[in-house]
Amino acid sequence: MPSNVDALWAYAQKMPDVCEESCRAKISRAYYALFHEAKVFHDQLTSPGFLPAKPGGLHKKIIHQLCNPTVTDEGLQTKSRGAGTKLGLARELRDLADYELGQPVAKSDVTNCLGFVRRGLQDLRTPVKSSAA
Amino acid sequence: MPVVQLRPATIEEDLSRDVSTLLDETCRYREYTDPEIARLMWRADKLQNADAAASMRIKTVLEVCRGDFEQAMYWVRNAKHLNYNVYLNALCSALINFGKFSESQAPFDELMDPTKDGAMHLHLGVPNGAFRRYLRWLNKGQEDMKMDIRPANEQQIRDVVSIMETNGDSDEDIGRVMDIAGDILREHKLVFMGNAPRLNPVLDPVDGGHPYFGMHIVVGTSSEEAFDMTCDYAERLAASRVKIPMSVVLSFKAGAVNAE
Repeated sequence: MPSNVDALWAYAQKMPDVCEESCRAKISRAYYALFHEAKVFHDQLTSPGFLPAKPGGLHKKIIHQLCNPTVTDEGLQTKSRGAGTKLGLARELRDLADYELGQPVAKSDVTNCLGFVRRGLQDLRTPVKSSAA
Repeated sequence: MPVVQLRPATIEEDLSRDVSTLLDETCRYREYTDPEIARLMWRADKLQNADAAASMRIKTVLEVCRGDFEQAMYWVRNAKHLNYNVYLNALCSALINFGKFSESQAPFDELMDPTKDGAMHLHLGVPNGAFRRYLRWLNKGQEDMKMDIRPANEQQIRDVVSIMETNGDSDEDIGRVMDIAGDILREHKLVFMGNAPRLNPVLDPVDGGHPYFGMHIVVGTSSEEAFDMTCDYAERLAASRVKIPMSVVLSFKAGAVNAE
């Protein structure tokens, strides 16, 4: 059955954070909600952001492209850069949750990650006032 | 048998220690009329006859605690004609404490001149984001000058510089985004302490993403305020036209400011 950003985000929010593993899972799901929303936003731009000089995975490309927009509209530029920055903040916590098993994940990491994702989703869903850069 | 050098404690040493303690205990700017600052200012005035440059340096630190940038720079300028090294040190430290990171990188570079105090001030290159300069001077000291300098965070800084080189980011790029964080610190009346921000280098991300390092600026606030400051930083960075360096993910973290 297919899923979507809203379903991922709702699931991330309602997941319990009762143990280390559930905290890690909560961070991971929340990150992916913002990742997919940001990707949809970027795909809809009239011109894609600059690609990184060295090739890499989708995570590398999307953050780099969002942080380096080529659209001329100032509002869209700001929105793109903001999404890239918040995705980067969530990504650091997601890397900790998914790959750094030797390091503990604190409740504050969960709160912060969900906070960055909430703000990121809000920003991406707020219409921009268009103006040429 | 160890050689023991006995020498009397100086007024400056006593005063510097007390001022350092005050700075360590200062998370937010203190009131201008703070009695502890007034007492230390009075002692710094007395020191002026014996060591005017040291007196200016100490007064600069006290203005940092008050959050008075203009007055701090006044004492820094006074020190310039008395002792150039003291001036550079006071200028670099004060700019860092006030969150004017990129501006502090030039005096740091000058301060590191090996014909002057050099390596004594190496630690100032971490809190202002001058990682490449830090490593250049460290290598120069270790290789060219055969100095036995082994900072505890050496490998971490080498990793950070390697990440910056991979992403093509300069010290200035890092300094400029740190300046946005510095603006926020000043608006919240928070002192950026001399303690280096906590660094979390991720050299080879498993997700195939670009390498980066987390830079956590520890502030003596609640977690909620630290989170709001991070979001504020992200929004200001987005609205600015400053290059977003791929190397750094900067955030504020609530905690004990002076914990190592």
